[in-house]
Amino acid sequence: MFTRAFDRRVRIAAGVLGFSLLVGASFGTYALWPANLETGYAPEQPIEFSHKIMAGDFKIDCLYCHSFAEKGAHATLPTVESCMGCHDVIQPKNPDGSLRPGIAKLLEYWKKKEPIPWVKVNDLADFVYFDHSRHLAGGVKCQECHGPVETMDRVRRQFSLKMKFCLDCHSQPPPVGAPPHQTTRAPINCNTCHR
Amino acid sequence: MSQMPEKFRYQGLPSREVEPRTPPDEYSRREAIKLLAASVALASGLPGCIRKPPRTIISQAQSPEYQHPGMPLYYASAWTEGQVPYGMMIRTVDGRPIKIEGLPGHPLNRGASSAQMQASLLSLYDPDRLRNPMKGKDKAKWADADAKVREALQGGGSVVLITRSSLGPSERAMVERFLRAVPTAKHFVHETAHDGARRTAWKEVYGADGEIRPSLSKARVILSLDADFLGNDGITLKNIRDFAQTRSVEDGGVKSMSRLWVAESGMSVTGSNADHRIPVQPSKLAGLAMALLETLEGKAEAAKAFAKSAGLDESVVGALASDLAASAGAAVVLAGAHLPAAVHAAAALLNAKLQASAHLEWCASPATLPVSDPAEIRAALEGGTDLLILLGVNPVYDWPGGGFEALLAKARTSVAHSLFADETARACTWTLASSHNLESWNDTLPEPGVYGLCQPVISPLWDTRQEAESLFRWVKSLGTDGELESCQDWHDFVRLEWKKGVLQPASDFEYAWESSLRAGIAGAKTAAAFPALNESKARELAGQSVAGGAMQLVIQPHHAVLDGRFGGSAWLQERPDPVSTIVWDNAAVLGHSTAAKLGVKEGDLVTVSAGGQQAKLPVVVQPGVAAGVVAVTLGHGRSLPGAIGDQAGFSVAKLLGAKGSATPRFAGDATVAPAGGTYKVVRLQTNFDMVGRPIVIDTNPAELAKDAQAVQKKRHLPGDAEIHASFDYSKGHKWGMSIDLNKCVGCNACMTACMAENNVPIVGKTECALDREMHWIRVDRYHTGNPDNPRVYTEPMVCMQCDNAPCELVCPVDATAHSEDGLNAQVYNRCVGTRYCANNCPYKVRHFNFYGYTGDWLKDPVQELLFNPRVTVRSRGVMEKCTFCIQRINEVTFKAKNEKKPVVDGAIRAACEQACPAAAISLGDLNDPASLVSRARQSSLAFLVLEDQNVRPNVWYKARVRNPHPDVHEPAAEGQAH
Repeated sequence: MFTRAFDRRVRIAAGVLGFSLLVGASFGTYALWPANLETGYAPEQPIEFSHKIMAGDFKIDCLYCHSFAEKGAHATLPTVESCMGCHDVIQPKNPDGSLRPGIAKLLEYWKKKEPIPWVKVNDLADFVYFDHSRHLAGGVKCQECHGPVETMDRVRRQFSLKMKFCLDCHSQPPPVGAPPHQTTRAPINCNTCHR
Repeated sequence: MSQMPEKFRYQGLPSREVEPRTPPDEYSRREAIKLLAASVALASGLPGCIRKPPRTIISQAQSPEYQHPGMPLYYASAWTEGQVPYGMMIRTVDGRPIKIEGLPGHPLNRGASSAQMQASLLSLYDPDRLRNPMKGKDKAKWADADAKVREALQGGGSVVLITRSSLGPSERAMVERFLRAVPTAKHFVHETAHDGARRTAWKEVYGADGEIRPSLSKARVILSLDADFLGNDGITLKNIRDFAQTRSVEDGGVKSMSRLWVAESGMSVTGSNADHRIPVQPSKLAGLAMALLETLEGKAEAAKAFAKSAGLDESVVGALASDLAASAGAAVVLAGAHLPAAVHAAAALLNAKLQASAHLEWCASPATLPVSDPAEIRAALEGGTDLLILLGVNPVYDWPGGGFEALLAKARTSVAHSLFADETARACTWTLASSHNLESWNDTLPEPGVYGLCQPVISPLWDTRQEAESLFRWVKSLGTDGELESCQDWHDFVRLEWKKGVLQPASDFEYAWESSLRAGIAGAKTAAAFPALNESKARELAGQSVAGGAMQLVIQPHHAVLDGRFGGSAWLQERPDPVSTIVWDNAAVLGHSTAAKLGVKEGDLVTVSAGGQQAKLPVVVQPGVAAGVVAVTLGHGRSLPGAIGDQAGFSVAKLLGAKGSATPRFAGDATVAPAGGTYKVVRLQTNFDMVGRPIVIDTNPAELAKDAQAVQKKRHLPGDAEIHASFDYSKGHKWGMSIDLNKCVGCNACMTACMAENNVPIVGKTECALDREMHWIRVDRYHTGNPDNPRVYTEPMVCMQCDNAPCELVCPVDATAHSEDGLNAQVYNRCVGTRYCANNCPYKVRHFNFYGYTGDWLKDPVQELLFNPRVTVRSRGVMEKCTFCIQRINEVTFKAKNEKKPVVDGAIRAACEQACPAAAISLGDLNDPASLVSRARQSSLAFLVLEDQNVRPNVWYKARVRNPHPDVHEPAAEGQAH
C-alpha cells in the first residue's frame, strides 16, 4: 500500500497544497491589507473628466481649478461656474456634430444651476485636519501625495494616505536653512493634524 | 508596499547630532498589532467594510462672493440680551453660523460676549423650534394666518398688542404705524425681569425719563446697594470691563485700585468680588444709605448708629462712611433694579453729595421701552378682545401672580409669535413661528445716537418669519399706510428707517448702508448732561418707609436663563450658577443661620409665600446670604416641548408683584415654611474649601507695601528632585496662558464660549449629579472666613498643559502626548478610554465621554450644522480636555508660516479669552519675552496652582489683590508665608 511512489505523491501533493496555501494567504493578505484596499481606488465620476487631457495634455496648472489649495486647508473643487468659464466657449463635439457626453452633462448641470456630485478619491479620516496651504507653502508638489494625476484619465488613489505615509515625509531631516530647533522636515506633533 | 521613493520613507526621529535610525523592524510590536487587525478583518469575511463608503464633494454651482470653502467669513450683527443691546460678530463657515463673538467695535461689549449671546447659536439649530405656523394643533399657512389677522384688524373691534420691552428703533416705528393704522389697538409691554421700578424712581427724582448707566473705569470707591452690576443688573459686559480696569495692578501699582463695597441681601457675583460685604435685608438699604448721607453731611456717628440698630457690622459701616467721605468725586453708589423707590432716591442723594456724575452716564433714550403695569393689561383684556397679538412674550408662563390663561381665553382670536411652542403659544388660537435673531433683520439702540444693525447670516431654516415682518405685512395689507407701499418687506422698511434716520446725513445711502452692515453699528453718541436732582422730592421719597418683616423675598432674573426666555437652551441650563454652581434648577437660597432657624437643609422642599401667593422650591444653603432673606430666581419651571428645560426647576412667577410688596421683585414680608419632602439639587462644585493649600493666593496693598514679593513667598515650590527627562522648550513657540484673578469676576461666560467653540457636549442633570459634566473650562469657587459672610475667590481652570504632564505617563496607548511647543495633545482616535489620565490629573480637567453625549445631533442634517468643523466631534468612550484652542493656534501659526511672518502676540485668542469681558485671560508664547503671558509670568504676583506637585503647569495665575479698608480689622490674607 504505502509504496515509495505513493509516499512521493503524498509529499508532492502536500507540497503543492502547502505552497498554494502560502501563495493564497500572501495574496489574500496583500489584497485585503487596508493600505492596498485604499490605493488604486478609482470610482466612477458623474462626468468622465480626464485629468490627463486637462493637466497632462493642456498643462493647465492644478491651482487653476483647485484654486484654494494655496490659501486654505481645502484644495476645493471648482464651482460649475468656474468650469463654464472655459467651457462656455470650448465645447468639443463628436464627429456627428453632437456635444461630447461630458460637456453635455456639464451644460446640463449649469442649466439647472446644480453642483456636480464628484466622488471623493483621496479621503482622509474625519479626525485628520490636513492643510493644503501649509504643504504648498512648504514646497510639496501635488503629485507627492496625489500621484501623477496628469497621467490619469480617471483619478485613482495612488497612495494609502495613512499616518505612516504622512510620517514618512514629516520625519525626514530638516531642510537646509531651517531654524536650529527644527528636528524634522515637518512637525510630528499629534496636534499638528489631530485636534 | 509603499510606492514612496526611498528618500521619503519613515526613518524614525532623526536629529542633527544622531545618525538617522534604521527603518523599524519588520515585525515590531506595532506591525504585529497591524497584522492582528488585518487577520480580524480577514476573519470577518467582509472586506467591503474596510473601505469607507464613497463620499461626495459638492462644490457650489455658482461662486458666491467672498466665499472660500472651509474658510471662515465674519458678519457683524446685533443682539438684545434681555434688556441690553449688544453687538455680535458671527463666524460662518460654508454659509452656516458656527460661532458668535462680541463685536469688537461695539460701544457696550467691545468684543466680549456673554453666555446668552454664545448660546443663542444653539437655539438656531434647536430641534424643538417651531417650524411652521400653526392653527391650534394643526399645521397652517402664513397666508391664512395673515388673512385672519387682517380680517380682525379691519373689523374695527378691540385689538391688543403685547410686546417685549426690547424693541429696536425700527420695530418701535413699526408699532407706532400699527397703532396709527388700527385706531382701536392698544400696545402694552410685558416683561418680568425689568428695571421699571428703578426707572420710575429716577423719573421722579431727576424729573426726566431716562436710564442711568454706570461708567466705572475711573471710580475709586464703589458702593453697591443690592445691585448686581457685575452679574445680571444692567449692561454687565461693560460694567465688568470697566470694573476690571479699576482693579488693574499693572500700571500705577496697587495705590489706584478701586474698593468695592457691597451691601446686599443674597449672594451675587458682585458680592463675590466685594472688598467688604455687608449682608443686609433689602428693607434696611434705604436706611443705610440715608445714614451714610447723614454722616457725609457731618453727623459723624449716624452710620455707626444705624449699623448698631440694624444689627450690621459697625466697624465695616463706619469705614464705608469714612471711605465715601474721603472720596468725593471718585465714589459712586448703585442700587439694584428690584429695590423700592426709597433706595433709589437715597442713592441719588448720595451720588449728588459725592459728585458721582462723572461715573454715571445719563442715557436719555433708553434701549428698552418702559414696562406696562400688569393691572392695565388685565383691564384691557378682561372685557374680552377681538384680537390679541403676543409678539415674543410668554405671559402664560410668567404673568405676575399667574392666571393669564383665563385672560387669554377671553380673546376671540389670539395670535402668538414665538420661537418655540411655549406655554403661551400653545394656548393661543394661532401660533406663528418666529425666525431666529440670526435669520432676521433688525436694529438696536445701544447708546443715544448709536444704532446697531442686525443682519441675517443664514436664510430661515424653517418656514418661519420674524415678528416685525409679520407686523409689517399686517399693516401693509390694510393699505392705509402710503409710505409702506415703497417697501416690499421688513428689510426694506429697516432700510427706509435708516435712510430717514441715522444714515440721513450720508450723501450715498447705499455706501453708508453697506458700511453699516460691515461695522454692525452706525451713528455717533450724543452725550446728554446729567440732570439735576430734585433734592426735596428725593428726600421725600427716601424718607418713605419700606416695609420689612423677619423674612424678606428677593426675586432676581436667573443668571443663565434670565426670565425664562433661554429655558430651552441646554448650554445655559448646564452652565453652573456663578455663585452656588447649581445646574438645571433654581432654588430658594437661604443663608446658614436662616436655614438653621427654619430647621431645613439643602434639598428640603419649602413653601415660599408672599402676599397670599405661594411657590414650592428646594432649599440651597449659600454662605453669605443675609439672615432673614430668601432669594429666588425667575426663569425655571417651564413646560417646553422637548427634553431641554422641561420641568427643570420651579416657577416663581406667582410670587411676582405679590400683594403688599413695594416692587414686583421684592416682598418685604414673606414666609418660608418646610413643605415636607426633598428634591435633588445638583451643584457642579460641592467643596468650596481650599484646605489650607495655596490654590488661590491673595494679598492686599498693605501686605505688598511691606514686601513686594509677598505672593512669591506664599508659593509652595516643588523640590529639586526630578524624575522626568527634561525637554528643551526654549526654541520655537511655547504656548502658555495667564489668568488674572484680579480681573476675573466669575461670570462663567468663558464656559459657554468654550462649549460653542470646541463642540463640548452637554450631559444633563442626572449625569451632572455623577460629576460627568464635560466643560473644558470651569470656574472654581472658594470660600474662606465666616460662613455667614465669606470671602469668595473665583478661579478659572483649564488644562494646564503641564511640562511634566502626569496624564501622559499613565496612558497605555500614548493617546496623550506632548508637542514641541509645550502642549499636551489629546488624540481622540487613539484613546481607548482607560481613564487613567483623568485619575492622574491633579486639576481634574479631563472629561470622559461616558455615553455618546453628542447623541442624535450628529445624525440630523440641520442640527449637525451647529458643530465647529475645525474640531473633532468626540464619540463615546473617549477622554477629552482643553486644548488651548489648538485649532485657533494652528490657524494663526499656519498662516504666519505660509507668509513667512512671525506670530504676533495677541493674534491667537482662545475662545475663553475672546469671550472674557474682563480681559482676564491671555494665551500666548512664553518664549516671546514681550508677550502678555511672559510679562504675567514675570510679575511679582504670578503663581501656579498645585505647583508643589512638580507637574510644571503652564497656566500662570496672577494673585487676587483685595483692597480692604485700613480701618476694618480683617483676618490675614489667604496663604501662609513659609
